[in-house]
Amino acid sequence: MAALRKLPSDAAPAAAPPRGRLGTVAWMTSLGGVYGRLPLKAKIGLAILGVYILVAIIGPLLAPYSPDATSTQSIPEAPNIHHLFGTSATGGDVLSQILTGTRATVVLGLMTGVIATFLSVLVGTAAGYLGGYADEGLSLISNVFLVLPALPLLVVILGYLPHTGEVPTAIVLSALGWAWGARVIRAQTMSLRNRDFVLAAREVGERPWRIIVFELLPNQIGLIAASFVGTVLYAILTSVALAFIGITNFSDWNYGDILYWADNGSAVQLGAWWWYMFPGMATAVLGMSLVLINFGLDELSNPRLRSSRSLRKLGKRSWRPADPTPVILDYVEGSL
Amino acid sequence: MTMAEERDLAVAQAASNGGAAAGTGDSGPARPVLDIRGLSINYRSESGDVRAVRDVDLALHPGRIVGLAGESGCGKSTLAYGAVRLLRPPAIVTSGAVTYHGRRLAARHPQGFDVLAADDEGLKSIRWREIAIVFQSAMNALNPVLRVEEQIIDGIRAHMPVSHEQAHDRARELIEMVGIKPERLRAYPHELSGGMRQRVMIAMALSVDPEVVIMDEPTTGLDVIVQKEILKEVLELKDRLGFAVLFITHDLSLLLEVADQVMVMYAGQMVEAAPTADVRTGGTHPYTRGLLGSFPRLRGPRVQLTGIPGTPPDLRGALRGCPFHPRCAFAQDACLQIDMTLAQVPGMQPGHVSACPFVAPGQPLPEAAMVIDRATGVEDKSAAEAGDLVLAGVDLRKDYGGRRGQVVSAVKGVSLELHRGRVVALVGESGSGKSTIAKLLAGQEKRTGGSIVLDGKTIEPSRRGNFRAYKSEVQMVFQDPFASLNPLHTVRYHLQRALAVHSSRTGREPSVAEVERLLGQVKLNPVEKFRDAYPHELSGGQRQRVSIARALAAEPRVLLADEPVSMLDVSIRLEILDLIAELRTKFQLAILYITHDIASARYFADEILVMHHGEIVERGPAEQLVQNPTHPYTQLLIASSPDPDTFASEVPEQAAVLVKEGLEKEVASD
Repeated sequence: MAALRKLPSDAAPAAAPPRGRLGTVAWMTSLGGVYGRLPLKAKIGLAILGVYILVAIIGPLLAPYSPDATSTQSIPEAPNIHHLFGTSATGGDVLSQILTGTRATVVLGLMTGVIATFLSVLVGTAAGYLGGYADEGLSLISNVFLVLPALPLLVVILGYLPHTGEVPTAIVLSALGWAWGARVIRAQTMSLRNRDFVLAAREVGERPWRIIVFELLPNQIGLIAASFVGTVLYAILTSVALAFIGITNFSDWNYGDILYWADNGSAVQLGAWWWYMFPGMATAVLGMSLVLINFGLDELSNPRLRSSRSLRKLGKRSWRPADPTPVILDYVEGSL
Repeated sequence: MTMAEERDLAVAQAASNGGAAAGTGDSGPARPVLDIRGLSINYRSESGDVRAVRDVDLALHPGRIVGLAGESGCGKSTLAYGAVRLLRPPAIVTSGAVTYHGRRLAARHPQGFDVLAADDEGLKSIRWREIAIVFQSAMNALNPVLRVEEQIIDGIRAHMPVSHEQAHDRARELIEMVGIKPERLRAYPHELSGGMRQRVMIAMALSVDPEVVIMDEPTTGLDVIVQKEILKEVLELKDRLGFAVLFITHDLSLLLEVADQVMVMYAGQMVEAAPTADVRTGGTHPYTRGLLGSFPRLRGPRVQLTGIPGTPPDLRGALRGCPFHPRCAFAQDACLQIDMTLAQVPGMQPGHVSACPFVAPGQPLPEAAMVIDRATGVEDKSAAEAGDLVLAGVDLRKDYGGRRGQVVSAVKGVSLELHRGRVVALVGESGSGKSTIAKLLAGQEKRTGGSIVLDGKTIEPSRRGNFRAYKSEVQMVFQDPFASLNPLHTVRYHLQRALAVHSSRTGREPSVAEVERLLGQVKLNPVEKFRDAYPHELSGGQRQRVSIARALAAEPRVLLADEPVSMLDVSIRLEILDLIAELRTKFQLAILYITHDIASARYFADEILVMHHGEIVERGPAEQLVQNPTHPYTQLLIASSPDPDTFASEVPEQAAVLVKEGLEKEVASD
């Protein structure tokens, strides 16, 4: 098995690529290279998320109508050439509402992701690295936040905050959503803390903050990224749910608002499927892209999951892990 | 008569019996129980197939032990697991034949059981029942949530139609057979010590009376005293039950003690196969000789050590000629032309075959050969010659507090002195507290008691203001080079950080030139190649050199080396020890060399301290201590260390008492 370990011989260690300061162009190319090497799931997820972010930026410009536009009609209009996604009962264009609402939804998700992940990393690494009473205290706090019933609390808090926009919502969602990530990162930090390379950094005489930032954190990037993606997903789904029950800022469109109005306008009873189906799909696809990215990150950090399936395939049948070693007596390298 | 002699006699008798059988018209010598012919195994990979095993023949005979030796990555485990088809894709068997001739299967398979042609069901019927395996890591092989008893009984009932009671009786019998009290059957794996877990594994392997037992590094990771006990057990059981053993280990000197026949693999090929007695006298193939020369000896005069320079070849694609020639002291142009067929070595016992047609047994090494002796040939310096005292630990103590008020004393009042230019070896088994002493002296852990004296002044290394200053004087090299470098940073980053932290004291800037100077000091040439490499691109030996370079960046006067070579391949160990010894001379470093291997301490150190249960039981000049150990524990340690010549060397009586105590204490020692 050890033969598989990729070690170059003494005589010819693998030529290290030059690692100078990269220019912007080179940086972009290398980013492209990273994308190319990602697992397929992550590629698809990132591509979909990219579309959403693009729409979040330019969506309002693309919208054919004002999302708030009303007409005198009183029944929702089915999708047609003028209104591709149909209209609401008051004549609002659902497509325009979705294109406009993407921004608030995505911004809220990303903002919550950044704030909550920052809190998770801060609390998690501090608790894991410092240990002792600091760990006990920080763990107690994160445990308390873990068991808080999030949704009722959100309803109460956001209900009280006047004119709720994205920022207060993001802060409240972050405050209630960081604890899980902090526990995961704490566990990982604790296992890394006793690894020899951390002891070796201490042996060199490095300060604790340098050990945390330059030795521990880079080794948890996969975990932090996964925690970020998970938090974004949580924030988006929760904000849509909150808007649906009416706890939202109605001056600004998001997916939840459309669903709220659809519910209010009895879309289901009227058979106006387009009114709730399209915003629902938009939410679901965004969620799916984040889940795919998470799966992809998982494969990236755990090579076992991606252990090239092509090599497992032998001829027409694929090999199950419990099968005996295949015997191919007329094997020619590269023939399978 | 020693056990080794007895065995040789038995082998000779078996051979003559075989001859007699041939005389009576039977076809040739006794049929092997497991016959592997021309086996080749590939690991498929995107960058070309790794041909891990290439056209290997191997035959196991009942009641005999075949030892398989070689460096890691030479294909010895792949061969054994591939032969019983336990490898997973991307491994595939690409050629050869494996035939099992078992007594129980003789009626159904008169021509022998064809392992390579067998289907899932067929393989299930021979695995464990006919061919059992003892794995290296018993902790991983045993199920942590089941009692030992249940695991043994499950194993028996899966292969034999017996009642639970019968299986239970059998389990008691087995556990007693391997030297464990039957009460321990109720224990969970974590309640047993490493040695006892390995005994349980052996009991399980023998539970359904297999005819072949594959032992994959069964004692690696165990202490020498336990290792010796287990090996004795295996030999006795084998004589009693008559199974055949394929014994895989990287430790050739161990094989010389237990095996009847030794086979040496290199780069997936068999380079030499010989009766053990022939290898004991030196072997034939240059690789075998290199391996033998890499082991420091504990008994007899100090002989010159010869390492094996370089690393094994890349196994992707075809190899031209002899794969060993780039590392071989005897290499010549014709080496590229030979086709690696094993041929009888003239003048040696029949069955002694070597793949090298050029080198005869006993042929002296050419002048150009790598001989490591600078470090080791030096006479013991008397205390009067010793340099100035640099660092001393006085009455060091370390207790680990248990949760329920139990206190475990890892170090119980140890004093030691490190002088300029001298190497002190601290020898002990795992759990003796030797690594704790290194951490206390390095300031990585807080002491419970005692003091540390640097240049005659008592110092508290772990105090905030002192730590960096202390680190610029005292540096530690870690045991595992695969863990002690951050996988995400380059060699240059590691060294530049160490230079930067200490630049105010050493006056050296963390420049690329300084990094290259450090790499040059540890002989990582050409430096440009290694400077920007990531740890995963380096071999174990190269990484350990980087670790040493990092320690040197602080320009310390004391180097604490905690088992610096125990994770490395045998052939590389000498090179690293040689490097440390050279640095000792060059910078007049005071070195604490911590090891479990008293033989290497003999070669490497000026003074040896023997540690047992947190205390130093004996200390003295290295050679004198090894030749005339006075404390029973030291005697036991020396008697248990693998040595090619004297397996059954008598264990002194006092020491034997210690063994007994040790075995009783083995219960839940961790």
